[in-house]
Amino acid sequence: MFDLTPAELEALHLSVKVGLVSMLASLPVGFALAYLLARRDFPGKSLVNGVVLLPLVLPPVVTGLILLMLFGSQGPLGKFFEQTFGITFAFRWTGAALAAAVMGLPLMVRAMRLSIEAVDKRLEFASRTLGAKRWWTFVTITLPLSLPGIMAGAILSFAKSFGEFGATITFVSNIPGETQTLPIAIYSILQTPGGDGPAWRLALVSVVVSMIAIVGAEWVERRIRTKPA
Amino acid sequence: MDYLATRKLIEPASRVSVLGNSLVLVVPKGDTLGVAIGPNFDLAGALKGRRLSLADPTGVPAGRYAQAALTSLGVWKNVESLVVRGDNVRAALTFVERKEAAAGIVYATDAALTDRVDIAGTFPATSHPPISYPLAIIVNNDSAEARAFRDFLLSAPAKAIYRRYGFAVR
Amino acid sequence: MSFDIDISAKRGAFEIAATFRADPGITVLFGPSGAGKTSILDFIAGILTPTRGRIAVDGQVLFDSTARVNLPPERRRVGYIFQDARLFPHLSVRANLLYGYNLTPPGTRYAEPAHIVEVLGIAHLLKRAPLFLSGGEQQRVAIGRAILASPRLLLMDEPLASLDEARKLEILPYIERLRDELKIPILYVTHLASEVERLADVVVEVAAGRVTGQRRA
Repeated sequence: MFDLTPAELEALHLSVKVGLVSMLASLPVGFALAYLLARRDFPGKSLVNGVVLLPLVLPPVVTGLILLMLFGSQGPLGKFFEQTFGITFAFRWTGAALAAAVMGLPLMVRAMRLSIEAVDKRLEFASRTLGAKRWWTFVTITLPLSLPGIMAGAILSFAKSFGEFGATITFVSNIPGETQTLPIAIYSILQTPGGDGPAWRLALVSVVVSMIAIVGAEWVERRIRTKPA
Repeated sequence: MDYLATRKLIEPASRVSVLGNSLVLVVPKGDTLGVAIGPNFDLAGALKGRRLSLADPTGVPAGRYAQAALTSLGVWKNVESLVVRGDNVRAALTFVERKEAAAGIVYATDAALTDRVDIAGTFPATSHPPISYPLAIIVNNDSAEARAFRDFLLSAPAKAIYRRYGFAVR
Repeated sequence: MSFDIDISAKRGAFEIAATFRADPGITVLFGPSGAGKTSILDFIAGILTPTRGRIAVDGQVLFDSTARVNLPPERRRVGYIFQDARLFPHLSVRANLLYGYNLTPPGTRYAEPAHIVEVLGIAHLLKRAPLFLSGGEQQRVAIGRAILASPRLLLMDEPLASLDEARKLEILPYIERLRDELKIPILYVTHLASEVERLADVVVEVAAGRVTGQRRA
């Protein structure tokens, strides 16, 4: 039942690659945003908050179109990345990773922000009265105490990317081996009559991977919480 | 439709096909490819490494017709690695409109809907299975309303609408 | 070492005005709850900023509104012991104690871990997690932590408030011993006359945000 065809294995492998890359790449961005929103006040804060949440409420196809406009080979950011870093997003797995990162960002930021807000500010004050500069307080107090939420945010982002479909297929289309992630492969298979069998198999694989990610995250979170340094 | 017919899920007598379409090669407005459609035409060369946008040949009819046409003209193997698959033919068209793809293959009726693409050529009808839009009533649903709707879809006013959008009508 | 303060500030509906000086020993800020005593400590520590005035420890200016000086908390070397101890929950007792010590340049240190641990009687707690300490034990560790950063001024905000009578009586001797050993001003906030009796060298009376008097105890 679990013998996957080469094409199916390719889709699984691509999904894992895209998921990991998108999670790692969005960690610094997500954390920076979460920290800003949790601890700082600045003009336009509600706007930033709104933009971060946008991928959660917009139809994924719309998000995909926006990505196409901005990061496609004709888009301003697409051209910029091509010229400055040599990175192309159009029709490449990097584009799939970008779509996954954008769609997972609201979940990541929300989880991280909640855990940073939960860190007692008074502990941060105490740390500063003991001689710690702001950044040292951040590294030794805020960061370790918000670690469970950071992990949860990262795992959620990874799991979300495993189910990402609309934005990805609109932005980078369906290219086996390059952008055909697991959800897109399942969708593609379902288009043909008699595709139910293989589709179910892949769907099951999808569920198993996501469950491993989520259960693993819980376990790590619990271990961090109950272990003092 | 054949799939449904073999499984006896349609009323055989109600099956009819009055619409046709043709397959065209489109490019972003203002671009040219420099090749004409014909046996073994150098589409790969004309694309110069850029993308050809199709609807997904795995399941979308437009994509299947496109692959069939390119195969019968002996060109599919050369361009296969340049193909990007939209999940429907409108998505494939969008990539050409946005100049992300250098060319695409869509229905003539789709190309007619937008002014952001030019038609670079029409695939000969012989290069692909006939594009037909069969109509049939589902078994156990042969009601007066279903019949009335079928009659409307085959009526003269309906045919005028189809023609207006570029379909070939029998 | 002496301590000078002359500030005024608006705190919500409150007007806070505090002018007094403190020498080595325990200066008690005494007044009813809600009189603004904790706010005064927060101004001194640099957590809050007064509207105008001047704060100096041993001649070094921590805050001066006319000269536009406002040192951040980490540069003031003002130790702060909070009502609720505020030990870092993810660090062991030992790591908590050494937190400020490690941030203090060796040349300016006057407190050493071995001695402070012995004075406060917390040697047996070093490997524990703060979560598992009693209120009294936590407070002693908090005191040790603050002192090991070698502060020039020590602030104590009702440190015995959350303890029962037995624990209070346990800790008072430690505070007295610290006063005798360290030669720095200690500002001790309380609303309990019994603590004033026992600890104060000088009493500064605070009511409705204003310092209303200063006397020898």
